[in-house]
Amino acid sequence: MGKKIMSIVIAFMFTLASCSPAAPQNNTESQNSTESKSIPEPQSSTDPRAGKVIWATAQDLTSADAYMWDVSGDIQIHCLAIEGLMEHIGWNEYIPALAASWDISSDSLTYTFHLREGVKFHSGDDFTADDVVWSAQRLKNMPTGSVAGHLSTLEEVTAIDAKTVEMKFSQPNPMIFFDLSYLRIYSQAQAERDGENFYEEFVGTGPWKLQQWKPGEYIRFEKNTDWWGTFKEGCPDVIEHRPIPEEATRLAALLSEEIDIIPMVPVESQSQLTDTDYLYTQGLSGINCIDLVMKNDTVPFNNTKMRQAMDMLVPREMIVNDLLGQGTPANIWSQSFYAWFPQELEGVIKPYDEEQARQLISESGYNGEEIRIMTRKGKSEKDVEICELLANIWNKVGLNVKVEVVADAAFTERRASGDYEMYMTAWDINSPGFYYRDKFKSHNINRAAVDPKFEEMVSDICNEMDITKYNQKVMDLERYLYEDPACLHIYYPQLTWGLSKRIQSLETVGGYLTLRMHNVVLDPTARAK
Amino acid sequence: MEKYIIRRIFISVIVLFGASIVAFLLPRLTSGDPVLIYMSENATPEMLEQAREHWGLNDPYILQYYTFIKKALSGDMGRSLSTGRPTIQMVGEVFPNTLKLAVLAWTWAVLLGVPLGILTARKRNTLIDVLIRTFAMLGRGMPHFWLGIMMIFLFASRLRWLPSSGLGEGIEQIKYLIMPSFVLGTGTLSLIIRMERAEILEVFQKEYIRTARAKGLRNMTITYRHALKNAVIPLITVMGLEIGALMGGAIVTETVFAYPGIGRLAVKAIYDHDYPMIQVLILVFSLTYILINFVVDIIYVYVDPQIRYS
Repeated sequence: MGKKIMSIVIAFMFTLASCSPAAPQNNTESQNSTESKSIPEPQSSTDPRAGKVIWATAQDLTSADAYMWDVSGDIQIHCLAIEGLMEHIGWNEYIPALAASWDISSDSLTYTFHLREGVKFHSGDDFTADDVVWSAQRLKNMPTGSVAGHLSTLEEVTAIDAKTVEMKFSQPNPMIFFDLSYLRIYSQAQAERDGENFYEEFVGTGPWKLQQWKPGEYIRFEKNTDWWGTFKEGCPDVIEHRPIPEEATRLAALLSEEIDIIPMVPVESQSQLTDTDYLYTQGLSGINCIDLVMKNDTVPFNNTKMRQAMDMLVPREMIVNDLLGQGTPANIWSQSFYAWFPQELEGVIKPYDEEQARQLISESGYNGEEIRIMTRKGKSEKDVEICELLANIWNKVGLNVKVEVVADAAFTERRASGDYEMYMTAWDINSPGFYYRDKFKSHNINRAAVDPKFEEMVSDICNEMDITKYNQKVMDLERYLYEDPACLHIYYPQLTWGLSKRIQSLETVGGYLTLRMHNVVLDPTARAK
Repeated sequence: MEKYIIRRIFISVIVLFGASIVAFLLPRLTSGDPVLIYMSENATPEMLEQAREHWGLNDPYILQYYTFIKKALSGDMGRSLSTGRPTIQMVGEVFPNTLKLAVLAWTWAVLLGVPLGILTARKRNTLIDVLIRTFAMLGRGMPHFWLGIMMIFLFASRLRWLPSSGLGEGIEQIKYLIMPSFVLGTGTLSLIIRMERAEILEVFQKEYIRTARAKGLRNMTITYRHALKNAVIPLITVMGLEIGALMGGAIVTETVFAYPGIGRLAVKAIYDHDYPMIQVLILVFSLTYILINFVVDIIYVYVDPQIRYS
């Protein structure tokens, strides 16, 4: 009886498995080329993937409400359907979106936005100034969430007429467009019709309309053919995002052609993709810098010599070349494509100097105080391994270092409460003045508390509205911190996308992970599952 | 029997009440301030206070618990701190998925495990016995994470027989459930094989089995008509509890296969210090175990006539 049961079960499983479509034929042309494309015959019109692009990331959409969290995973979904007044296309590059043009007062406190004509929401409602006013007030009044902080300086927003909005701010902000990019415009009429969970319909003015959302499974959008903008020719008709938390599973899904795009393919897995004739990789420099942040206001890092010594004990080139196999060693926070990058520092990496570091440590009066390096696992490549490598090196020179790997929420909480001496993070420096002023304080780095010159330089930056002078002042600050670092900048990571050859071209927002899906081009003749 | 059922319901309510206290206190005592986690780095102290007020975190614990119970009794289990959606709705969306996965894993583990357990008992100390017991040991010791990834690369990437991840729709869901249910069920399968083998071997020592052999009955008849009924009784408890364990233990499997289930929801809630979600999940798991235990006890009555509840 046992044998009969087993036979039936095995036969059943094989029957089900045989229901899957057959594996595609291998094309014998150019097996290992990443440049040329092996193009089989065009797919039939019954191909379920025709005109559809699926991309997968580790994170699922946290909240359908664009005003809750300013996390990249949510932003990349919201921006598909819900637009803002301008579109962020790269570092400090903004193009008009729902605002066709704008005027800025001489004191940089009043902004007048002239709204685009003829725009409709996905619900059919007309886009007017009232929607901007309503959205801004809603965002400002959000009781919880991390997005509202970006409009903390907004004092008043008024509809001058149906197509003109005036915003008044309490202080000048050279990075105001970066903050305003978080103000995505919802339809007041739709919100009033659909009630408190209106945002779950993803009704905006954007190029993509919600087709279906199954939390935890996928979110799918279809082309908004009434969009005011232009789709690139060959743009897909349907796009779908799937959250696949496990990196190996994402890779497997790409290899089996179930999906078309994955971000951040690790170096050791890239050859698996390029060895096929239907996948390729596309690398681009991210805007992040991987840093080890130090608490500047407490022992032992409240001492310049100690900070300088730590900086000399980071073998940056070895980490990039031998441990990671990707990236660029970092010496300051900004990268060379930033307008405020001091060009004389390009490629100037501080040498690993154990002897001088020991001397500086001795001169600093270090007394063996424990140094805890707090890190999360998987936030950046080999983050735990890098911390452990550095801990080993530093313990050998007589420091007392311990690595603590913690979960996300514990990390955030300990960082906020200052329960660490160092922590590993990845930061992009969109708004340097405010980063140095606010982030350093809120993250308990507190350099300003022990360094009056730093405080003065940062304050000066935050009040500078002239972009040329602004850039110059940030440059000076970067030079100052190069000599006496607040953080140990380790490397700038290379972001590598894994792509199906169905994707002829891919466009992202600067060095971010956000895709500009209306500019994605499908190769209609490429193989699809 | 009616008195027994009423007594069990009464006890279940007390257990649930206890679980609600644990569900309420555990996240508050073990994790920190969710406001620091959820609010912007640029948030002013006033904004942080406003968030605490909005979430009711400034109230004394006893008042927070009272509010939680009062709302729970009317079906309002609160909103997730991270998504803002009603927690009961979020759980309701994924609970059936995990139930399907757990039941399928359990089903094939039982359908395979019982016969294999009997086979190893009957073929004791032969090659078949050794092979099956080795397989059972491997199944118990093999990490689900590793097994899942290996199966994905073999059956999805290489052979293209099965999808790598997700849930699928309609009848297609069966394909999506094959690998994760296999991975999830291997531990249960090996447990059932070993337990069934031990029970059968014990039952084979009984006098009524010797009598059956003396009467000249065939081995198959002795095993399946006389021995199995008694050997399976202790297994019912294990099999019943295993469904609960499978549901709770699906976390790794759901993560590896990107399967939208309650396990993934639980992991995220714990990492995010999402108090309302943690509370409802603890209650859901508690209720599931209570129901399973209850059903198992009722089944006992029908399987073993010697058992009667007063």
